[in-house]
Amino acid sequence: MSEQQWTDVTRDEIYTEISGALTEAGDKSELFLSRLCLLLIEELGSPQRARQAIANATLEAAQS
Amino acid sequence: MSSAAPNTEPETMQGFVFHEHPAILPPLVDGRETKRHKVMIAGGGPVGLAAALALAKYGIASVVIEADTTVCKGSRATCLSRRTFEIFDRLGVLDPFIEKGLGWTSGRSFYRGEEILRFDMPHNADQRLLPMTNLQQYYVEQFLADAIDLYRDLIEIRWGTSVESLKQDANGVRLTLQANGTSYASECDWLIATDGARSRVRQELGLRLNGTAYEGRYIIVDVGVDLGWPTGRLAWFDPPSNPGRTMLMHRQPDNVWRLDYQLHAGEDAEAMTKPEKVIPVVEAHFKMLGVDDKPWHLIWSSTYRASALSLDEYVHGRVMFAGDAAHLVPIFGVRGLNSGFDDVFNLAWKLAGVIDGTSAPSLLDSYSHERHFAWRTNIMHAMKSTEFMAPPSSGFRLMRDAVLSLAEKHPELRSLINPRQTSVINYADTPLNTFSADETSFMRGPAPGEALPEIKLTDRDGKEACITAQLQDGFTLLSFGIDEKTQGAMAAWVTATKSDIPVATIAVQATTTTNPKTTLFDSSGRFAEVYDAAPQAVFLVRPDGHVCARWRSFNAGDVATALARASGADASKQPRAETIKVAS
Ligand SMILES: Cc1cc2nc3c(=O)[nH]c(=O)nc-3n(C[C@H](O)[C@H](O)[C@H](O)COP(=O)(O)OP(=O)(O)OC[C@H]3O[C@@H](n4cnc5c(N)ncnc54)[C@H](O)[C@@H]3O)c2cc1C
Repeated sequence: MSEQQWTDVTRDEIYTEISGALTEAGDKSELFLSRLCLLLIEELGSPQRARQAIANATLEAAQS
Repeated sequence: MSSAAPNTEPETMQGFVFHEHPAILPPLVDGRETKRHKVMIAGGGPVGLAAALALAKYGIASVVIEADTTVCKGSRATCLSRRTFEIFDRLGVLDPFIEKGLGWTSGRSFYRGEEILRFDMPHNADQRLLPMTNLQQYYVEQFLADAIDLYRDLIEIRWGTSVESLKQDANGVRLTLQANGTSYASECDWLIATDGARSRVRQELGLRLNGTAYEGRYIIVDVGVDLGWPTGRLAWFDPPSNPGRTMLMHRQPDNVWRLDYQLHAGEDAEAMTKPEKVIPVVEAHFKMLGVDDKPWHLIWSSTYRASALSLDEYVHGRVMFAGDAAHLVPIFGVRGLNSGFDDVFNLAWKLAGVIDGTSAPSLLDSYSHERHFAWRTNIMHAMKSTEFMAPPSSGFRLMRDAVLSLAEKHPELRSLINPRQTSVINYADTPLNTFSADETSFMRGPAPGEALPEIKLTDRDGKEACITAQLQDGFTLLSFGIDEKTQGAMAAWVTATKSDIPVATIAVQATTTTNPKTTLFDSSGRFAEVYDAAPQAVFLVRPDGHVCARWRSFNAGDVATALARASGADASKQPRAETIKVAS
């Protein structure tokens, strides 16, 4: 089977699945997110891209 | 559903007059109406009124039973879709809606102080109608009632009359109606139930809606104010003026603005509709927007709770459900009323065919099949919008806030914020479709089940003629680039089939044609492109504008077979009473 591409629809589906899994995790939601991050950075192909994502996700004062 | 706050009830609203219609009793003998009706419509809200008009287009008479003595007061539907306007055009009522409504094509979303998304509704140069138009529901009902006035020989609205109870058998429905304290019995062959979310007809038949009712509550507020701003959807997530809330704003005609906002968990919904609670929220919001110098007043406020609920079947013997009586959809994405109009536009031609005897009663099952599918499609989108507007759990909230805070710098995430407004439903798996041997050769264009895409053509005089405006009541054979010989064969076939099922023809030609009978030209080439139509292509279009089959060339036998399937004629030989199931 060929791999699915990112479309607005598939992004939407994955968003919903993460939201559901995050709710399921309950008071372990931080652990869930950290595990998800670790798995995802392995998919990134380079440490530079992981560092870039960390920088992008870092909260600015206004957003905290 | 909407509980009006204790504002004084106005006779007029920003210029709109609520005309009162007295309840009138029909001629009665021993408490029974002497005349039996072909069709009665329980509930004269927007969907019931549209049902009466749609049936009248096929010459079918109906009586609308409406409990109220005027159109709806309070704030309900605002946003009408392009598809709804196409339906209005077919019902012959479009003009006042265009004149009074406020059309729009785009929206803006804000997170805290920042604008994070500008979105455009699907719209291009092929379209004659705007993707969305704002108009208060009382105008919608009034314009439909005005149009009904022109059909007095076919439609009677019985204002101030309510359906109390009913019984049905294989031949029809017997109702007990009540007006001005007098109860009387009426009989009809068919009943369309459009009596809204709390449908009495549904209760009488012991039927239940299934699905999900959401916890979140919203306050719906209309205010009178002249902001001088353009029309479009405005959304604020967690605005500094009202931290934690999601606020939506829509402009309506007559300087009426709609605001909805989500209540916090624990807030008492009823108390929050009180002016002393509503005014500070609006004031803070207007202050944030820098328009607090504009004089404004509160018109009305109510609460709303989203639900995704539906009957499993919309046809029960002689009773057919449509609109909110059949299904509820969360308001985000505006599919409620819009889907109700699509219901009755789908139902009317089928019921007319069954009443005329050209279609088997089983054709009505396709109404249920197609519109229940439409509801499932609608709630899938509406639930996504709802989950974003009002996250149902901690996970959804965290993810939503993450998206909102990233969207400004990461455009790839913005589609998640897009409100997924209503679009036309594709009946891909309806039994009315025929997939011809040519089907796989079409690379684009309307496949069986899809509604006709809009294209601007030109007529003989070089004037613009849009394809959806060419459709008439009944089936249409739409062809592209056919030669004179084929045109003759098609005309002969149409004449032959006329005694059973009327079929209209629309022949579109490329600009360069020697065919003297041509009336419509594809001057821009867009028809050929969008429909993937090479010369000789033929599309069979249902009365509601959905394609049910297409071919690379005309063959009378193939078209006849597809027409028989789509019109329910192939099954119409069965005796009627046997094929009608009546729930016990
Ligand atoms: C706040 C809010 C905002 C909305 N915004 C939108 C929007 O922007 N776009 C959209 O498409 N939809 C919207 N909707 C949904 C829309 O209002 C409904 O889907 C629509 O009103 C349904 O129409 P209807 O004719 O099926 O039912 P109703 O409008 O409920 O009409 C039912 C009619 O039946 C009558 N009736 C009831 N019981 C009886 C009886 N026993 N006998 C006789 N008559 C009876 C009632 O008096 C009423 O006139 C919104 C709804 C709300 C509450």
